[in-house]
Amino acid sequence: MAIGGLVIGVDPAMETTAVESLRQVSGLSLGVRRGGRWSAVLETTNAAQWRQAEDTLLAIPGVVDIEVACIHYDEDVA
Amino acid sequence: MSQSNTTIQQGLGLDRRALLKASALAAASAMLPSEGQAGDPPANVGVDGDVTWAKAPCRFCGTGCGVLIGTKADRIVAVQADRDNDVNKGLCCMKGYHVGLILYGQDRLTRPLLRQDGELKPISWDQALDLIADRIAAAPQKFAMYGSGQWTIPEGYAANKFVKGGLGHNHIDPNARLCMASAAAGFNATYGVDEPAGCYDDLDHCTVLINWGNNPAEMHPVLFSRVCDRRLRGEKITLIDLTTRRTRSSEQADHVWLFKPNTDLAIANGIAHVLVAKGCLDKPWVQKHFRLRQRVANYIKAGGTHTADYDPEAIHPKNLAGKDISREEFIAALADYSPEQVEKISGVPASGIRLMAELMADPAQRVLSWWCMGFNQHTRGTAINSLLHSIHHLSGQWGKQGASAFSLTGQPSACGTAREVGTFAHLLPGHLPVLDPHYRGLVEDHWNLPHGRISGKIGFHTVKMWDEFCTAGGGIDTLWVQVTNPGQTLPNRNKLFLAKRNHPEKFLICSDVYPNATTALADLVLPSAMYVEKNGMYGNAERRTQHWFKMVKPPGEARDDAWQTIAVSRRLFDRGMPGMKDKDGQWLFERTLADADGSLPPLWDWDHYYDRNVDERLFEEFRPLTKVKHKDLAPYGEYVKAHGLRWPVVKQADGSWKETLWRFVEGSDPNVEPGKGLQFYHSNSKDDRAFIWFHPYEHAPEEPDEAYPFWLCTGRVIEHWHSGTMTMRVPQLRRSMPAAYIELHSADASRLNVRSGDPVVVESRRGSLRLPAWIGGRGQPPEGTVFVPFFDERLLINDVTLDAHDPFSKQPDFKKCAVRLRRG
Repeated sequence: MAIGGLVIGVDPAMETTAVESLRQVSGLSLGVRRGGRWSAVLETTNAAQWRQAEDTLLAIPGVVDIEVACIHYDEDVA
Repeated sequence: MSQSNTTIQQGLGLDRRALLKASALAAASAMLPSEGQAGDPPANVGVDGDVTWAKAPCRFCGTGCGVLIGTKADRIVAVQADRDNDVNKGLCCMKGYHVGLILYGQDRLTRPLLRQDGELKPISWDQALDLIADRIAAAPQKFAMYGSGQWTIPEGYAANKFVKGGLGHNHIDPNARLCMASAAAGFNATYGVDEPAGCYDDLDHCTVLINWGNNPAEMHPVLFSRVCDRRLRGEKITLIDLTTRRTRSSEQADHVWLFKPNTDLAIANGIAHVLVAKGCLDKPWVQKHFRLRQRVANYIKAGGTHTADYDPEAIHPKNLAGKDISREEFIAALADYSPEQVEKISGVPASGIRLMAELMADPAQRVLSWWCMGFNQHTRGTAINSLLHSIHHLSGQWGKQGASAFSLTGQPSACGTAREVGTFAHLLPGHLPVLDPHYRGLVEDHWNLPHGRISGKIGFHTVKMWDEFCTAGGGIDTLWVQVTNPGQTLPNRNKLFLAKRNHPEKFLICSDVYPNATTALADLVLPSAMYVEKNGMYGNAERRTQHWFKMVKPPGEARDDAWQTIAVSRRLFDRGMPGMKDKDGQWLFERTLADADGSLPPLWDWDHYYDRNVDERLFEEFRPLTKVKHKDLAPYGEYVKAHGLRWPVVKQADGSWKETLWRFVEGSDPNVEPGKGLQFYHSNSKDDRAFIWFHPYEHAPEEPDEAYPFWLCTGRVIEHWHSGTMTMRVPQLRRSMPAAYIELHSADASRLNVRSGDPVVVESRRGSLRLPAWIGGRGQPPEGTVFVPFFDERLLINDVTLDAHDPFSKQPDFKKCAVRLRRG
């Protein structure tokens, strides 16, 4: 399993629709918004899925960039 | 799930997955831009509305990052970086994000333990304190304390007063002797006063950054990220990595120059050689603010060739400030250090020496040099520290934003507690030397002690202290260790630690939080409160003092280290020990701890210790002594409010307290007189000038030879902090780096028929160790050099290292020695 913290940059002109799409992404929990950027937690079953999820997020219209704050790869938690 | 993970999960009161998600969200939120004002409560990104957040500095290295600790039901449940702390601006390294977990290892010490019939068995605190008091009362002059740069400021102050003011000798020394004593000696030799003039803000302004043997990508990652972030934003910063092996820091560098261990003095002299040739000595800046200086004698005995051949009789602390050298003599001394000659000595290309000198001589550049253990754990540590300051003085790369020579520290309060509180064997609080009768009198008056109580004889420094303790008939027979793990961190461990086994008459006391290499040999083990289980204050590498309040209760019978010291002192007073009385017959700590009306609460009784803020009372007694050397600290309450303040902190006309970013610089340092520009107001030459030194390169005390043909270099890794007592109990960090290893070059490995993972025996003249090989890994030493980290208590490289030490700083050179290898 992989759990990580993200900072997601969003285009202000498309923020409403972008955030709505982000809320639909499986395993993603949005946190707080500051300065047009959102904190979030992404949880996937493994590292490969994590990378796929990042690509998915970047493909959402209005998502400008993603910064990864930290990732815990935890093989002990099923 | 493993047993240890289950325990930690239960200890935190959280589902493990929820904890990971909470910490991930905390880390992400900390990276968001701040919208609040400094001092606003942090955004509650935590688990639920019941979490209480409070500020603290990180428990680990000397960087002093600010963290916000989230607690719930008397447990730490989350950690986030403090975005209002200017040190780290909302970032932490992987250790910092896990700092809350260090409290919850399975095997916390929770009861006093006495070794009986070879086994540690529980006893009461009363029995333990009586035992310590018995040992001290029987032979107070043979008692010593060995403390730490992890002591909080009040803890160190209490221990210092107890030994120097109470027992009347100076046998107290911190483990900072192993860490930054050479940096302190270098500052004192050059400026007449200790600690850096610059600060971390220089990282935001430099255009050239030179790593001098340090690996900040792993050891000071948050500070290093400030420079890396600037480069990612498109700023041009030239990064030069002078190193004995390629590291993660090398990956970021524009220039990586490998040098032979111990040849850093030659490199610095090579740069000085070029600067002098470019006419730097004639600059008005140099002539106005600096004097040329050299050591008073050639310390190597006749016929000797290495620093191991120093004549100790020729070296006295008063020689630290050296003697003047003429301009002509200075130029002549540097004649032997042309870039081409330095290339032959060090391995750094002559073009590299010239480039560094050119960059330093360019007034459009802002050059920042920084260093850490590579310079300090060095038999010429004082000399190389002094030389680095000197090339910055010569070139003018000093006293401007981004232009500085900055010594990093490894422990959270090496500066605050070891240097400012003066827990070294040669110092008094305020960094006042014990050799000076004026300062002894001043402190005696401050403590209301009779004149003559404080000894004018320097106490045993760390290496000497442990040598005396481990030797039959030696000067120390009872040694109390607090907040450090010398069983793992002393050099030449067989001689300086394990030899205690041969002397059952010696008594080792150890206050600690977990079993470790020191408790394994201790006769009495005392369980200590750790980190936010107690109030505290730390002083970081940039003169920043930071404060925190107790947030959770310690487990079982674990208690504060300062309380332990005070309780023993009180017992000795109750027994009538003269040293525990002031000149009015009152207890040594009576005036310190009494209420304003003079009444004294029984704070030596643990049940009453937190009836008052003992930390505040100890700190407020200490604070006036910081003014003597212009290291003025603000009142305790200012640190409660602030996210750290850099001294000197001076009261303003409006009643506020202002910190100082750059010392000795007009406009920044309030102690500099108007119109002076620069003023070194503690100058050794009493003329407001600092020094530009010449020190010759000399051979290391031990170098590879036919019998021991490899260099061994030792050091640290990003995942673990020093001896690993705390970080090896954090499952995430332990899994990331589970065991020590030996790095070696592929060509050497091939000759030894060794592949990664194969066992290798590394052997010196002092001991040997068997480790798995790592070839082509994170660090890549050149041929003929190997590297071993010291964090793993199961694989102790200090069985192999050297205890030769610098003549002034007394800091041992266990960064490098000669070894031989074989397949194990």
